[in-house]
Amino acid sequence: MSVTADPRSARPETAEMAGLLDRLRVLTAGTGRPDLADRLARARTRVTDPRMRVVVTGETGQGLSALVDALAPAAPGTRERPVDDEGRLLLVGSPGVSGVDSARAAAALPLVAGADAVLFVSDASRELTEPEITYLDQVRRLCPTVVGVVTKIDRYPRWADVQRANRRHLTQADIDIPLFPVSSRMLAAAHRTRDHALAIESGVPQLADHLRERVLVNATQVLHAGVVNDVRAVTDQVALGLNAELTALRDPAAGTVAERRLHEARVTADALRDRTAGWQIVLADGATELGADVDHDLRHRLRELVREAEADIVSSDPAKRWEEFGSWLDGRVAECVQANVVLAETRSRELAERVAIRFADDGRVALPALDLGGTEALEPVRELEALDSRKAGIVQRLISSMRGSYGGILMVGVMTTLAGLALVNPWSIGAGVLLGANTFREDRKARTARRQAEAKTAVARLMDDVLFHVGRESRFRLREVQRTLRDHFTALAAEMTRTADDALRAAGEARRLAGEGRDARIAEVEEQLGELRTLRVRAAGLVR
Amino acid sequence: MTRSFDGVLLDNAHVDSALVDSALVDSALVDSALSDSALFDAARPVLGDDAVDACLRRLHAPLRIALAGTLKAGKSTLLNALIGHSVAPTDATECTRVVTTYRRAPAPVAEAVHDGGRRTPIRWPPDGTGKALHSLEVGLPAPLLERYTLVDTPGTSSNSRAVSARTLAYLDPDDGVCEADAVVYLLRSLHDSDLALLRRVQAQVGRGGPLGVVGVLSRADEDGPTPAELRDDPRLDGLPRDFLPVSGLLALRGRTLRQDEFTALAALARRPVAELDAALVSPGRFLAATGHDGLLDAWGMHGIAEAVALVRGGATTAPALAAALIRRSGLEGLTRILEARIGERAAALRMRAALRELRGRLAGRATRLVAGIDRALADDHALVELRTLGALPGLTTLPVPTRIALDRVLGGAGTRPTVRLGLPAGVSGREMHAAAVRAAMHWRRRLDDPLLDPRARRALRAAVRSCEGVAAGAAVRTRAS
Ligand SMILES: Nc1nc2c(ncn2[C@@H]2O[C@H](COP(=O)(O)OP(=O)(O)O)[C@@H](O)[C@H]2O)c(=O)[nH]1
Ligand SMILES: Nc1nc2c(ncn2[C@@H]2O[C@H](COP(=O)(O)OP(=O)(O)O)[C@@H](O)[C@H]2O)c(=O)[nH]1
Ligand SMILES: [Mg+2]
Ligand SMILES: [Mg+2]
Repeated sequence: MSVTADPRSARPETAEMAGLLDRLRVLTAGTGRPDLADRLARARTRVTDPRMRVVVTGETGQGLSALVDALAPAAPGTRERPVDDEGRLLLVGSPGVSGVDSARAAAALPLVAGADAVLFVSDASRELTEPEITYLDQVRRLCPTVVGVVTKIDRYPRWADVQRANRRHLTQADIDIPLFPVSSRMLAAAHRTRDHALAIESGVPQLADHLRERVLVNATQVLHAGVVNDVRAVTDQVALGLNAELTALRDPAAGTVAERRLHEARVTADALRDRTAGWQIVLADGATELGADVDHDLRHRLRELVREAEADIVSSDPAKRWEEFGSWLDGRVAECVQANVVLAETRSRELAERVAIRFADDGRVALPALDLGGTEALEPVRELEALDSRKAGIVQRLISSMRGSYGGILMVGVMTTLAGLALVNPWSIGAGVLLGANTFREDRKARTARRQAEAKTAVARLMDDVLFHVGRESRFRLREVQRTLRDHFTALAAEMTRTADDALRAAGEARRLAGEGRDARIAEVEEQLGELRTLRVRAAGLVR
Repeated sequence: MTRSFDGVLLDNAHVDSALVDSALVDSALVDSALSDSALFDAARPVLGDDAVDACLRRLHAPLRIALAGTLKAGKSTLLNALIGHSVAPTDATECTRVVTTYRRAPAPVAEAVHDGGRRTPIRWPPDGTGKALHSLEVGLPAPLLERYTLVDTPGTSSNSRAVSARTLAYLDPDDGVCEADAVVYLLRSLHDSDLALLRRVQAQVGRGGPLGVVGVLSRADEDGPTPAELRDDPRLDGLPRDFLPVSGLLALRGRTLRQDEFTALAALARRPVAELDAALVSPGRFLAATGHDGLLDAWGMHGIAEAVALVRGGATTAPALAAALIRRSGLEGLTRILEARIGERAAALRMRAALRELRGRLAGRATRLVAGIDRALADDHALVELRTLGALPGLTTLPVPTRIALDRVLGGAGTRPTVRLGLPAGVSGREMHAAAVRAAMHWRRRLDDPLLDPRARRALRAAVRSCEGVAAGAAVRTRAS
């Protein structure tokens, strides 16, 4: 189940950010850059409609449903539940997410990957178990903001000891998350008896506050920081063109300087086009490598599993416990797939970052040549930051593309289960026929050996099946990732090339401008540059 | 929280007597066991007298019951409840870290068994956790331990891999079979880790290890699945699916109830209902309202609420409350099953243990003798019955009603003929004979099914033989009377 936070309602920073983006968009459109204006329009949509998803997960029976009810009381079955009066936090029920057992956990992980925050629930009846810690470790790799909740503290007098033990286990596993002790039942009793102190003792209000104030604000800050980076990048690019024009306007006679500037701008534009080729190679190679690694990882895990399974088959007559064996194998396959999905997701993010860094490094080398002086906006360090912001942006976009392919990933879980069932039946039937026909002719040893051989074949067939289905799913997923990255960086490269070309054109035009027209244009450009600076400074002031 | 056992051991006659009495039931089986003595004599020239006598001592040793389950399933608490004394350390956080054996002894002793077999006496309860410890062994003069040696295992799913590994090394050793005669498996709700461990234990049953698994739905006073839900859970296909709800905590509190505890609980029960309800809303509120720190520690919130309800419901003396708590705990159901499954066949089981040890010692030598032992083990119908009972959950080719009927006729609910055939107590020998013959015919007809798989066929044959055994016994009785 998940909680969607909706901070749409007018918060002062949100309104100011939106106003600022509107003004910058008008300015940008006025300088003939509709592409950058579009980018600002998208940022505005993100600012005013950032749906924050908080996924609640944990083993079944640990009090997940009760916690969701406590955080967001509503008629059962209601899909969207407001947590607070302003309707900023909404609970969205999504069945079948709970459980850290392998098959169900595999299905829950994609949801976790798309969440802005995760609540991990375990009750106070016992300390965290090894499977829970393993699961948490995967969760925090997929979602940066995880909050631990220890439930049912009304039933267990020793909950503080359990909490301490949990902290110990978490520290040992190097997992650094807050742990909130709560009791949904105490909160319900508090509401019934209108006992305010009891409500506080339940710990639920504190958790809700944390969600609203820390998690929500954190996520909003991450979002705003991304938008501010967008603002920076756009102002940089617009200023670049304006500055080139201004230099040419101010120095019409000294054709040599302008000539040199023109030349430099041309070189830069060329370098940008080269860079475009460079990152595409990084991405293409990286994607191929990623695909191969993910595939290899799955094959390796399944091979190990086959080895384990065969050892098990050889150790006894497989027909005797084929069903147990089947469900064991099913569980282990689910584990393998789960680990493989986690690997694919973390590696995809790494690839995105690698491409972004590559982009930024090249940028630092190429862009300082364009330094036309005069604006603090063009310091090399800022340049790098501006590109880093694209990195933050792409990770976010990557996540939403992952979200788009949940269906695909969820399929893996279902498919594995089906494959597990398919495994048991054909072979059981086969074994039955075999036994019926050959009881008299074959001696026992030969029969066992034959069963073992058939069992091995069945296992191998299943593994082929799993490899085929999971491999197809994961190739599909990785292609999506690659496409998202390609589109993102292509747009980015186009923007930058266009900026350089524009600067070139503006400088050329400026030289042809004379007399009054020039003075008026200088005043206009200076005013625009001044406003760009102001907007940039105001945007920076909004994140702190 | 841990307790020392230097206090007086309480005599909990109401539970133990049921176990001890039925020791007499299996005396008939001793006769058949005697015929095996030839095997031991034949081994004397090979192994020497000392070794053979050591094997024979098994004939008098209590049977071994291991408690298994994941972390905090309530194993140690249930073990204490069975013994009737808080001897195994229990805690809200992990504390059973090595396999601990509880056996009979004239006076309390505790020993650490080190890796390599060396033993050293230790204080009890042990402080901290020994590193190179293999296991612990505790001796106690408790009535139940006369009949059973109990083995407490640390849970799997522990955050310490070493602890989980020690549990597995005991329950499912890489080399050989688990030494326990039966396993009581505790679970609070069914998770993957339970399925994994249950599968390994059940596989041990199939390999000639323990003769069966008794399922317990533990900490039954808390929220959790119902036995019916477990019975219908498809994940348990091929595994034991009958889980008896037991609250080890209520049982232990009942079996060790002290007068001062009763007085405190009775005082609570006299408080106005609304006032006590408000106090029971959380541990903090309870402490503030009553100051009963010790009560909270030992009984837990639910234990207190349950005890107060029982006092209010009429358990107005300490013995009455103790009895009511034990009744509510489900402990007697568990001891009854253990009795039906294991206690009533103790002699056959002990002979099996002795023969298995003899076979182990003979390893690689005297192959004819070993074959003889194997034959003896395979032929003993009491053992065949137990093996079949243990394997029943895995016979998924048979319909569930058939498996239930097989369980009864093979003596899964008790070995008395009337129980096996579902007849009222006190039927005449003639009626009994007729019923047994009818049952034997019924099961033999089922054997005609050509599609029957070999394991199911074996189970049906065992049922036929059990019925024939009852018929023969009834015939003897009828002639004699
Ligand atoms: N005492 C107590 N019981 C709780 C609390 N929260 C949940 N439970 C109980 O725990 C069981 C499982 O709760 P539920 O919310 O359905 O768990 P889920 O399976 O994780 O969704 C139910 O019997 C609940 O009544 C709590 O705060 N205190
Ligand atoms: N409510 C309740 N708590 C129990 C029960 N059995 C054990 N516990 C509690 O569960 C915790 C762990 O019990 P323990 O016997 O040490 O579990 P083990 O790890 O399986 O040996 C302790 O805090 C016990 O008090 C029970 O039947 N009911
Ligand atoms: Mg639920
Ligand atoms: Mg324990």
